Amino acid sequence: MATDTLVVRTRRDAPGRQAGTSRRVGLVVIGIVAVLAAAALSLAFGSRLVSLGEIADGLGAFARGEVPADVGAIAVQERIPRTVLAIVAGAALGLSGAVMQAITRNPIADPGILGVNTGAALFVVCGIAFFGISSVYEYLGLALLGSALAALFVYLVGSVGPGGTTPIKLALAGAATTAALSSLVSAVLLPRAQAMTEFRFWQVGGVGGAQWGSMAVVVPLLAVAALVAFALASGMNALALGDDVAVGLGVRVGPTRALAAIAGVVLCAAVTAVCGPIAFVGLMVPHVMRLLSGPDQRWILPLSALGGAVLLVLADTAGRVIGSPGEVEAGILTAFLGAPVLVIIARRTRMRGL
Amino acid sequence: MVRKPLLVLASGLGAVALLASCASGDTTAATEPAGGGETITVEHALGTTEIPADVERVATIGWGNHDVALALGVAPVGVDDQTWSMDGGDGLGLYDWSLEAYEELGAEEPVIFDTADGTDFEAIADSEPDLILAGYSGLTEEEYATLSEIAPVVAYPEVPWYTPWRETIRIDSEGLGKADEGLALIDDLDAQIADAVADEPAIKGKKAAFFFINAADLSTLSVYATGDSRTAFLGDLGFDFPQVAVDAAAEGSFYADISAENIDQLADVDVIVSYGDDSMLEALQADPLWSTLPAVQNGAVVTVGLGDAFSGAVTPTALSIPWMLDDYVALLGDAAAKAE
Repeated sequence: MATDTLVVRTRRDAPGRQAGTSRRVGLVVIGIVAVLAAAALSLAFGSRLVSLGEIADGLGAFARGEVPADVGAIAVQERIPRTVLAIVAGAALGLSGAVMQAITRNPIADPGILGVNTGAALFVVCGIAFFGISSVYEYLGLALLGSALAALFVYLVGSVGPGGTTPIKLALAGAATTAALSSLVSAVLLPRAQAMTEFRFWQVGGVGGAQWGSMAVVVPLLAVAALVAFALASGMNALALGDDVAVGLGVRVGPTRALAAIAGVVLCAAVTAVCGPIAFVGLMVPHVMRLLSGPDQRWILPLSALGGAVLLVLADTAGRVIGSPGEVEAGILTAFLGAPVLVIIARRTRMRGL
Repeated sequence: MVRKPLLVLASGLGAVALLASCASGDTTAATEPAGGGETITVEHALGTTEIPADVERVATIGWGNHDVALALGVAPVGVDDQTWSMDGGDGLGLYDWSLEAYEELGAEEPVIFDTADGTDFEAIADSEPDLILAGYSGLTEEEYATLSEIAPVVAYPEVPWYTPWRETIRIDSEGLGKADEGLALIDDLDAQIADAVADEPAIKGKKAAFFFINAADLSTLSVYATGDSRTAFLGDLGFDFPQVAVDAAAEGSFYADISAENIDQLADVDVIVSYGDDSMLEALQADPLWSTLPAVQNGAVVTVGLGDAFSGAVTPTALSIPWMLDDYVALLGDAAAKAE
């Protein structure tokens, strides 16, 4: 695959050396091609082995707005919404991770760091345990609300005291809040095995439940948040130099960080609401992209979106092929890939003496 | 899903009381040790247990073992909560059919052992049992060893969490020194089952299996293997099993995961039984892959609720069978008729 050769080649050139603009444009082009290639794989491969004819039938019937008669062709057609969801969700997670790493200046920051996943989890659990929710829209609403409140709480805690909002305070507040919310989740779940059964499905993040209806709800949210994030890219570049330097460069540190945080939270909260918590995409992808493109957020953000999409689509496809005749959720595969990456990042970071 | 449970339970208990009154105290497993006092020996997957014959305080853990004791006229002093299949807000942690049996026997309500964090050794020890019944449970060897220091333990006959209801009654009743009454109880329940299915000729020869389907994500499903007590009970009622349930059992698993992409592997299923509510059938019929199944097209889908008493009862126990039998068979008979 194209991405393999890409990684091998750039490991030799990077890191440290500033990549030229033409190379970054090349990276974006390769990213777009990789997304398309991953999507093609996702449509062609799954738990069920389908023929080229069935693929053509499934796609053709979809284009005509019909449901094909043949199970193989229907299976192909059913891969369309989940492929789209994997692209959208992966892109949003990658972008969200890049934003969070930028504003917290913390290399292991990812959507989990601001309490977003656990906030969503707590609200979903309470909904299941106390209000018997089961529809996708109820999950969506509660997860969004929970993520937003958790992130807001973390931001408030992280900004009290002298010095205002600092990256280290944000990360600490996020970790503490996550720990506290996790124990609340357990407290609600433990005596309620039935709720645990339902929560289990949501908690293992995946895109198998893709429905056009729920996507239509989140995609506008994601689009707005993504645009905000892109618009703040140069401001985030300044933040990376430290708050004092950023102020010296004329960047309004507080509003930039707050707005970027909101965008990052919305991006990952909306995905979490539809797919459940999908770990490590937001952590891994921006790191790889930073290695490839250098530290400029204006390139890291779009590249992270592309990389996230590729990663999640491939994880979902691989999960279906490996799990056949069942399926392995994409969230399990990303966690499987992500844990070693986290170790590598932690080791590199220490060696640089950060 | 309330359907005259009191009446069903009362008739079931009546039959049991009759049986108990005419059965003798002898047991097939009883032996005469050198000491002179009578001892019962029960063999199970984790070893051989010697139980004194004059057991008074019985504790039960796992699923439905207390119902065996209750059906045989013994009220356990301590019972595992059954909350893994019910809502945590439901008070004591036991289902109606068990609670009513306590009332019927005029016995005190039991201490409930907390299962949220594994076996509740302290509470079990505090209940000072003479015998611990765990015929249908998932005891590990370590747990068995620890419990054995508290009191003699009757574990599962072969495989953890894989004990059909007849085996649960057989091994638990042996431990109680009431093996004969246990066999009579099995015969009585079998007679009740035969009665109940006599009016539902559509069931005979149809293929049914118990599924786990998540209505919010229909891209995968699980089907319980033929030896799982839920699926096995469908067999007791006269159903045959689809190939996927047979294959899962042959592979030694108690369930199989299947992607909806391979839904055609379920083409031989006549009746789908699943946790869930009435909206399930609608969701299945709206799904392009699921709607290719004959069972879904025919509407031959039985949902047993989720987290309520009925959904617990269909994992059969000595007392839940009489409690749910008529209602369950009626639902299954309707679905089987649609499969014609």
